[in-house]
Amino acid sequence: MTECRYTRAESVEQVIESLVDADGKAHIIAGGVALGVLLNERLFDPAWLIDISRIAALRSVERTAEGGIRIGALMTHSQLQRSKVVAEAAPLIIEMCREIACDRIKNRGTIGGNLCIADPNGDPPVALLALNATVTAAGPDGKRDIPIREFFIDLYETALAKDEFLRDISIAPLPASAGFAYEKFAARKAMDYSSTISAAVQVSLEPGTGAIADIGIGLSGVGVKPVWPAAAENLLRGTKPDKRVFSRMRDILFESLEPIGDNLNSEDYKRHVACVIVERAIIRACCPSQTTGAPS
Amino acid sequence: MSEDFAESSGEKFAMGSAREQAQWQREYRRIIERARARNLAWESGVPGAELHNVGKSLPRNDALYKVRGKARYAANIALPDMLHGCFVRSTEPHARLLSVDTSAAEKAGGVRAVLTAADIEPGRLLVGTHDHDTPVFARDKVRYVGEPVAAIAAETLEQAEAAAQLVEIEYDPLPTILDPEAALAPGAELVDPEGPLITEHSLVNGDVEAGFRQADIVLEGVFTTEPIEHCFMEAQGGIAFIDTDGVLTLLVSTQYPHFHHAELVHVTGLPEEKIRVIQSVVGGAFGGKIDNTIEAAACLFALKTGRAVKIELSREEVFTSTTKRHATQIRQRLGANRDGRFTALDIDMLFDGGAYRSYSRVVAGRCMIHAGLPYRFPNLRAHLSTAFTNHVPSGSMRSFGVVKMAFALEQQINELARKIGISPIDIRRINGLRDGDAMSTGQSLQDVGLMATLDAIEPIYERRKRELADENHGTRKRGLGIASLGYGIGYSGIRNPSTARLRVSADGLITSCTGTPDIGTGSDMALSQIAAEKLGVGLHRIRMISGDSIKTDDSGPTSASRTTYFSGNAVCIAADDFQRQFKAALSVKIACPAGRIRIEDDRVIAGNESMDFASACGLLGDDVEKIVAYGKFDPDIEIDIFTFRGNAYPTYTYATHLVEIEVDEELGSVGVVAVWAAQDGGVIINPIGAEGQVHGGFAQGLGMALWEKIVREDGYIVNPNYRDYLLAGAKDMPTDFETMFVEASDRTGPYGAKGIAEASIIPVPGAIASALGDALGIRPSQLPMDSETIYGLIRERNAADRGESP
Repeated sequence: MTECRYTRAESVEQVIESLVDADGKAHIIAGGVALGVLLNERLFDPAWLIDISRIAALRSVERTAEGGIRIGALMTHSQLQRSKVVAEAAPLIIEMCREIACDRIKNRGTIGGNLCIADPNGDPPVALLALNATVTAAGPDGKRDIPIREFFIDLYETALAKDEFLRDISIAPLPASAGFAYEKFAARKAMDYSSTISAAVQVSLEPGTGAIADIGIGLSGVGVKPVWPAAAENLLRGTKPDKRVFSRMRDILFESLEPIGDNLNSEDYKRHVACVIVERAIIRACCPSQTTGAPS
Repeated sequence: MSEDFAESSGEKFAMGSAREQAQWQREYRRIIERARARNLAWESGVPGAELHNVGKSLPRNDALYKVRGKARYAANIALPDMLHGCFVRSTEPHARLLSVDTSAAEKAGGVRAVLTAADIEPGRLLVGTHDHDTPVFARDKVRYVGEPVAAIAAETLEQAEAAAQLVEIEYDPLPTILDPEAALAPGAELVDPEGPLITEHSLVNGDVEAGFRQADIVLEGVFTTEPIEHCFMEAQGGIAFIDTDGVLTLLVSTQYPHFHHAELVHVTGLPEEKIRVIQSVVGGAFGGKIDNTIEAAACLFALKTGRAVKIELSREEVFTSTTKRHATQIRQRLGANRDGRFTALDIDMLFDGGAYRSYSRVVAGRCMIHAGLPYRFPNLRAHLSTAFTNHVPSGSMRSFGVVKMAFALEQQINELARKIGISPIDIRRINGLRDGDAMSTGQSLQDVGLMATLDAIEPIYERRKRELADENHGTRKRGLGIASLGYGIGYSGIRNPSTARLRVSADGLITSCTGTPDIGTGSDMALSQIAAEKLGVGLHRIRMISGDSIKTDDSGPTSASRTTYFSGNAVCIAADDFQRQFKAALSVKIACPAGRIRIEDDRVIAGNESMDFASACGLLGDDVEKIVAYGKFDPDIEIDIFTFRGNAYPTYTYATHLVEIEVDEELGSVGVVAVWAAQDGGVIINPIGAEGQVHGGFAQGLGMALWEKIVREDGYIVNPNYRDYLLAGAKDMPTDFETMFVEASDRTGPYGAKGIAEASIIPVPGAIASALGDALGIRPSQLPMDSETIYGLIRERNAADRGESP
């Protein structure tokens, strides 16, 4: 193990300063859930850690002027799950947070850290893809907005530049007739990681007809990064999904997904599971009475 | 080494020093009193006498210090000036060892000693639980990936691990044997010089082919299971040091300190009295903590350096280098008449024994004896071969293979009942063993509780069956599955005595020394309850010392569900002896005939006088130390391992479990929603502790049934971690779990107890497989029954329903 430099940043400006100094050699640490495991397993030998966990400004959720919300990068999964503001503005996030690992991890893990690790099996990316969230990066040139659907580049790789860090996440206001659902498949009920496949769906229905006016879908566990199945969304917009539409959607999804087969499940089974849980999530999202987003 | 260690013993390292102990004892006593005051404990039905301790759900005497983080597991113990050791392991599944160059490692920073096979006299290199066939370090060749080749001791673990990277090993690869069928093929490469087979057994009762000719229905199946890891929370670990008297002392997480003592005498060449093995607090064992892992290396380092040396396996090492449950293939035919009577059973088993023998012969012997249990078969044939392969050695694990036989047999019995249209309860009633019946070995059985377990389950089964007939719609289907078992307590057909020694001090503290260690099951608590009951004193007076090769006699391991029955009986015998000696001594002191002295309710009643037990001990003065009571329990069991005739075990435990599952028909995922476990463990000594064993056995069986498998590719284990090897978690346990003890009192057991520990895993995979059959009409024949496997079976069924070939 090499010597590791450690900087505890007290402000956003200080983080950026350190990042510029480090010139790509530094890693940011927040809750330490993912990095802690890698350090313990000695799979990760950082030269410089910038600890942002003390920056209070990043630990908040606020309403935006437009009626959406802005979530600071340091909000833990537990804090989000209990937030009344989140429950009102994006209840899908509450339902998603309930499915994250366990309380100990939720108490430490931050939403920003989770997105930056870009784990293909993670939960938060799935919900944020469905919500079409916007990630705001901060760097020496100021702020930069990145649509979440362009944020995940490859395995553990994001659109952040080496001198940028994730500052907050914004979610636009939802229409009145919105519905949502989060479905998670896991071999075990708790603390599963390797076998998980998750689907998040956020819909708005046309008043009167009940057809899907707009839909956002996110998927995890079926590729090298969190997946945004745009083609399936396009098929569903404007329809009232019935057996035929779902069958077509499953075909499109099955063909488009590129999961990685492993010791637990084959590629085809993962594709099948993704199709089934996306369909279930859509059915549930389209009957809003069945879902509640009360903070918990 | 400090004075402390010379005085130390098992209980000290387990529970702190004598001063700390006193505090635990006081707190523990208060808890018991509170539990009694609130009438918290429920009691089991001991016939006859009114009992004060046996049959009570009392809190375990290790609970307090464990939940408060005071228990000293080997990993928590640090001795002054201690070195840290680690292993260098084979990276080849099968290869000649051309050279092992440790020169660079020896020069690395912090390194104090390096060991290879060259450091051990050739005649002392081999160890093993039943056959001395396993080198402490590989010498001429390596037989599996993970086999120890060298070890390093350094000032820090990091230094030891860094030096391990510098050891240069030159291999000449040999052809690898990766499954037992390949091992048995003509001309196959030999893993062991003595041949491809570790063991082969046959058993024939009656005429099996004639039995199948008489049968109206014959079912055939091939059932396969994967290797399973014990997954104890605490990895193997220990510390070796030379104490002030020059005794090589090993503190170690183990099921059998006396075995390691004998092995270490063999490996080091030291006289018996110069070695002492003390069990540290054990965080689970399940059969995986008997074989040598760190013991010999740690002790050789201590001898070489004169310093304390600690070695603890990493989780990856536990997965890749320690014994596993055998991967198994079982071909089985079951024949029966239309009225439900079995006519014949034919079982042919092939086990993957891995690279060394370990417990393979014991597993095989038990499987042979348990063929067909707990049923009567007029015609029975069983054959079992265990072959060497280049996999990590297979060894003992909870139930020694019987769980896999039950997976095959219990499913087939349920399928047979369905085909002939009788209930799964009735088919077991028709064929199940009853008092006076002879099992396959000819042994006549007594106190058989099987029928009582069926009686307990039947009304629940009938009710849920009716209710499910109305409820079962949609893509989530419910199903019911039943499985029964009979399981022998103790070693298979070999005498395995246990012993107990009781002493008392002038302040009335009774020390009970028993060789069988508590491995996390609560056996020390059960033995304390038995001792207190039999002696007539309060439970708080009993101090258990178990698992110390000097302070206790060799009483066999804590395994094979034997501790409550064997050691409990030894404690009873010692307690009777104690009473005789105590009364005789007191009789002289107070001039009262021994026949008029009784000890009951923690008081000594002598004639018309009554005094506190401690006061009576005080009266005895120095004479109290002369009372040394001894008990040895050694039932006469013997079996002929060629014919399998004889008395294999002194007693048997029985159970019937009913599980209700829910399966998602679109995904194949399975969850168990309810379990009803009717268990005959004889009279239950501590019901809440026994219930915990049943829950634990179920959880372990659930993981085995649905997820657990060691995945091997070309001899390499590719999922050596808890992320990719999936165990059942707390949330996977059914919310409805009812344990029913039917308690067929055993006339030979301590207060009628039999044993319970392993049995509860045995029915689980078979019951879940049967419930899947009930819910979906599919017949899973391989473990684990993970969701993709079940989804595949559902697709095959759907294709067959549509008249297509899958």
